[in-house]
Amino acid sequence: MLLYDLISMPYKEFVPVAWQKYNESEYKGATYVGNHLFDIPYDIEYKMQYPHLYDHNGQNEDTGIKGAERSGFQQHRFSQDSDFVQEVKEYFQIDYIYCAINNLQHQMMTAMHFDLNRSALIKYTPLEKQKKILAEDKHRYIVFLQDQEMGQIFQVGEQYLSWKAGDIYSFPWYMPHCTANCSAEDRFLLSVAGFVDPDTL
Amino acid sequence: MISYYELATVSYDDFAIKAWEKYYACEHKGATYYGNHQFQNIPWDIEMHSTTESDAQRNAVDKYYCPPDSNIVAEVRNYFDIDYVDVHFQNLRAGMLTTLHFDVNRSLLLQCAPESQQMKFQAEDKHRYIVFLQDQQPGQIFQVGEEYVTWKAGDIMGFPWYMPHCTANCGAPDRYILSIIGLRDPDRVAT
Repeated sequence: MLLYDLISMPYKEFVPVAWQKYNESEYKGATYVGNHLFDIPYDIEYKMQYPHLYDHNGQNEDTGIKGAERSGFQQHRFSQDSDFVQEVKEYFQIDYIYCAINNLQHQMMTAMHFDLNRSALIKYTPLEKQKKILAEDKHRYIVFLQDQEMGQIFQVGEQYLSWKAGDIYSFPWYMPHCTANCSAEDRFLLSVAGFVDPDTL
Repeated sequence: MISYYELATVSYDDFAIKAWEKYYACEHKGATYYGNHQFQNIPWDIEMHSTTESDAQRNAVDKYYCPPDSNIVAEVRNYFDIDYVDVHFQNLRAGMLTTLHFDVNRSLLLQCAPESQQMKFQAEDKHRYIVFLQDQQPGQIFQVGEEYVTWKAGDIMGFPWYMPHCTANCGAPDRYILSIIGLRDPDRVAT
């Protein structure tokens, strides 16, 4: 299945396709990739993100995710030419990348959802490559930047993750996930989505 | 043993210090499963009071205090064999959560138990149960200590006074529970 076709759908049409694939899959969780302490630039600015609105063809699209109107987190998206993005690209050996730090503050959550990662494909992947990438070729990583505090919850499929600083998890495009911060501390993670150049595969 | 009265009448911060101390010293850092029971007198048709002050507030639940003379309180008292009981019917709506906390349950001791008995309870005598009223849905989370609870409709979980817990509803459906706190009459226990 071409990723381009999937992410061109409105979110509400994408969801049943993802649930079907999820229900058919044997493994309903995340994969532990390893541990790496990235050199995080912490002196950065964050903007609030509200995941009930996705960018679709340049417009705000209501995802219809129930409870998502109360979801939100702080985010910093790195520019493509930053040294940090180069470090992440090299570490994961991917060519086109979306890279952000998400801070889920105390008392905040993100409702159960699937990732489209439209910007990784549409903004950061060359036009001539976009229609060559399969959904299964999407690389999706979460890097936890601090040790887990009690009350910090990240659910992927049927699995509740536990983590130490630097732990890296991965999951495929059809894996539902959500997160909540019931602790008193902020919870920072590095969110990475990207692709290897399809012509080199 | 710790007097429940002494615990319940200090500030929450002081209570929390004692609870963390006890929690770190305990071996089982989670909930205990107490079986499954379908309660017959759940007040589904009542209007709940929301503790939400605005749509932006996420740390809140909708709740209904079940009156002492209601059928559900009688049913609960009978099922768990407890004398003084505080029962709330609660709904955690989609997008809501309750941050990590300990239960003090002052009202159980100071309002539900007779004054003559209040000084006789030990903290360990408090019965704390959660009855899940529907099957768990994806994104509905209940953490007790280090354990993420899984449930089916009717499942009953309990935990002691020093167990930190929190809950979040990252799923779409509402999540209903019966929240039960109870004490057995200390004179009846002694006999």
